[in-house]
Amino acid sequence: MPTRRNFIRDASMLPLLAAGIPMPVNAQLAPPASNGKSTSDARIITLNGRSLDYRMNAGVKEFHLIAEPVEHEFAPGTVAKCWGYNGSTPGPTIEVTEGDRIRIFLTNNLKEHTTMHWHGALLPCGMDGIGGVTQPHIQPGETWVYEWTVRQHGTLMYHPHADEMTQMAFGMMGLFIVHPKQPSTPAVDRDYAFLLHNWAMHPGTYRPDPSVMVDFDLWTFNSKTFPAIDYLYARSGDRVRIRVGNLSMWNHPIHLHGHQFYVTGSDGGRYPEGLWRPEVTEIVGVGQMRDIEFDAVPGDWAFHCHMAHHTMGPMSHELPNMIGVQQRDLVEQIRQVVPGYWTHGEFGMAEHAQHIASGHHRNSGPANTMPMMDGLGPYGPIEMGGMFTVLKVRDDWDGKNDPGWYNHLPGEQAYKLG
Amino acid sequence: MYRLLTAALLLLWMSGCAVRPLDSGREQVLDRSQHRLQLDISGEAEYNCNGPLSELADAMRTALLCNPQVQIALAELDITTAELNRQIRIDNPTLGLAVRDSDAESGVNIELDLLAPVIDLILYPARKSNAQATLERHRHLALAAILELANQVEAGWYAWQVADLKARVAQRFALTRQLNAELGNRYYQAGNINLHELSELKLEAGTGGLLEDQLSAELTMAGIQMQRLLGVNEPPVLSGTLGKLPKNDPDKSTIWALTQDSHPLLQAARANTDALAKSLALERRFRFLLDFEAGISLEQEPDGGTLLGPAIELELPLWNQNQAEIDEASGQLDKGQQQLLALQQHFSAEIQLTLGQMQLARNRLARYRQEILPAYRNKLDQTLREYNYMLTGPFELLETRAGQIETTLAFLDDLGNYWRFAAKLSRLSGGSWRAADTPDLQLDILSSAINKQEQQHAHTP
Repeated sequence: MPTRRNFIRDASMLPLLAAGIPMPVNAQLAPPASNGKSTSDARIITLNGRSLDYRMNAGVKEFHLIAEPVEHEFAPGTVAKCWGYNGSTPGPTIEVTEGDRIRIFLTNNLKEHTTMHWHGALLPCGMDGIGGVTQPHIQPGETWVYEWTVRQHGTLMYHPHADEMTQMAFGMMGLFIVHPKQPSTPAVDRDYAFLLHNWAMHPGTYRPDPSVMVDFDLWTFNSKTFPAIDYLYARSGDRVRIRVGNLSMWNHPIHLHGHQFYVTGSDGGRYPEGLWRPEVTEIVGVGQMRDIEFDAVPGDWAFHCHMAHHTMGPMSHELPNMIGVQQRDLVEQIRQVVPGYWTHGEFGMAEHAQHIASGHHRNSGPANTMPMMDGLGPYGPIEMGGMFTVLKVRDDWDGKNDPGWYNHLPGEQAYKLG
Repeated sequence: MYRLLTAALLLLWMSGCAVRPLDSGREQVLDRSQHRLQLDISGEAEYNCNGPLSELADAMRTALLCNPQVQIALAELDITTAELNRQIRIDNPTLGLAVRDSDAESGVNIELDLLAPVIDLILYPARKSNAQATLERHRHLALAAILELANQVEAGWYAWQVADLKARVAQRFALTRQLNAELGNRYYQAGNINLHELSELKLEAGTGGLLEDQLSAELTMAGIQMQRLLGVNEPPVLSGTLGKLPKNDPDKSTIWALTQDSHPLLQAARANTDALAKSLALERRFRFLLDFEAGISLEQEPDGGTLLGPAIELELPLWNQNQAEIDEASGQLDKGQQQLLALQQHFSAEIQLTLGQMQLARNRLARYRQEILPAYRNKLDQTLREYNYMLTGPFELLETRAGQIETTLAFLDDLGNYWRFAAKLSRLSGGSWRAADTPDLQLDILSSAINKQEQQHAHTP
């Protein structure tokens, strides 16, 4: 029965219909369950993540993304009220194959509108997901459909194009990997992928601050900071690909120890071999994707952003420089007015990591705040945080379990002279 | 004849004996003071005026026993009593003797007149009653003077306690700023901060030192003020602590009832109107009896005959019927009544104002205790945690501590205000009400602001 309210709502849609704007999905076209039995033929190893299941429907691969608030743990001791997809940030990795007809349902369970932009995808303009430009915003509670035939391969991303500063700062992003129809050579044995991001999680808070432009607190691989970032594993000689996408607000020189890798692709797909270039560090610019490939060499190899502050946990940018300040004789006096005072940093900041590692100050920081440096290796504190992890390569890795720390061969490890 | 004369003289002497002077009642005033202040100062002849003061009662007892102002007030009462006795005393009879020798043959003529101011005798009971009312007024005034001294001691005690706390807190404040500057000096020597930053820290340390000096001097002055109020020769030694706030403040009606009932100034004003009313009644009742003397007259004639008989002198109220005196007494009574009314209005308004000020101070203290001081504790704790994680520097940590201490000083200002107004309310009630205190709550707050940190961060790497 037509009512005044219905009439106004319907009338307001008329210009959109006239402009060919798609309407919300109808009842006959239902999204697949997001938690059903996996039908994914995932080949990507998403660090600290997973690939999204899909359903075949009359030759169309159907995925269902649900935009929603999530509680996310960056590392033990630091949780945040984030936004993401299907219960995580980043959202699950979508894997498709070149030539697939795909249909992606997006349900908005946020309290504000959103859209979805398929970053780097070749698709009809109306599927590009730019709120206000290519479609109306997806209102809370609505489910919209994006559908096209994939005509490329490469490492792509997805993220909203609505209130982008907030929604991306809160973690709404994901990987969109398109495998080539014809497998290229050399074949890849292990295919890793993750997204770079930064977070203004001020000490003691529980929600990222979307207004920060420069001074971020957390630097993440797939929304995790060291030491919570998954290690990467391979057998010696494995062909390994690492796909890195950058949705942060800084460029990141990604550096792999012990290997000379090749930059083999991007969102433009796998480059022709003649375009491959050998590197040990590759800058992944803001909004860019880079694929690197290498043959794994045995050992425990650091893999990290080379911006030194990006391999740290939360730290102050106004901290007075404490290196070289002798104040040990003042400590007792200062304790008279500030009980609990102690001195640190006179000889360098590693002292902080030692205190953390030894447990002295493990829980003495602000609530919900990880230490600036963390991680314990076989020889002591690793003194890292943020965008840092380790590539563990073994001759006899079983393909499942962490092999522990590397046992160096005789004569292949630095030694103490005196 | 001589019997008659002797009888008259005897009668006059006896009547004079019946006229007893007024007693100043200084002991009664002292008793009232003790009762009102709930102090026992009996048997304190060997009291040590320079003994330790551990509570307010000690200070009050010392003031009552050692401050000459108390004795001055009592001596004033004695003087006033003497003046009243002088005013109501009955003049002695006058004896007139005239011996006249007219000529040798007729002999000597002797006249003897004995006249007593009968008017004084007639008016004496009324005048004495009037004087008693006046004396009662002065007893109340003497009591008021003693209670005023006690109240000044009470207010001074609180001010002294607060000054002591503030001086100690300011010491800590100055030390914090001083250590921050010294720390800055170390950073400067290491080449990590510049002279501008170091100067800022030193300026803050200087400000902290100024505050310490100021509050230390205020403590000294508060001690001197107490010494003056106690009337002792040596500066008193403070060993007591400030009491915690009573659970509730009294309502206005309670204090007002106490004030009406027992404030010595109101009682004095009432006694004054009573005396003035009696004075007016006296003037009216005896408006036609202005002056009256009676006695006996004895005359011995030259021929030896004797004449004896009563003699009177009476002023005839023809032109003067005491109207001016009646008008004056009436005016004085009216003035006294209006003064009583004005005093009541003054006390009523002052009580309301003081209760409002106490309530304000109480509310501010509650806000400090419930919100501001805990928030500062949390802020300091959080800053220390951030310092532990290298998220903030030591200067900010120490400055946060200094800020917390500065806030504690502001808290103490309000604490002092509360007790100052409580002492004022005590004065307005005529000493009948005093805020019941229990020691140490405020110090608990101060120490917890400091010690909580010690408990939480006792570990040392």
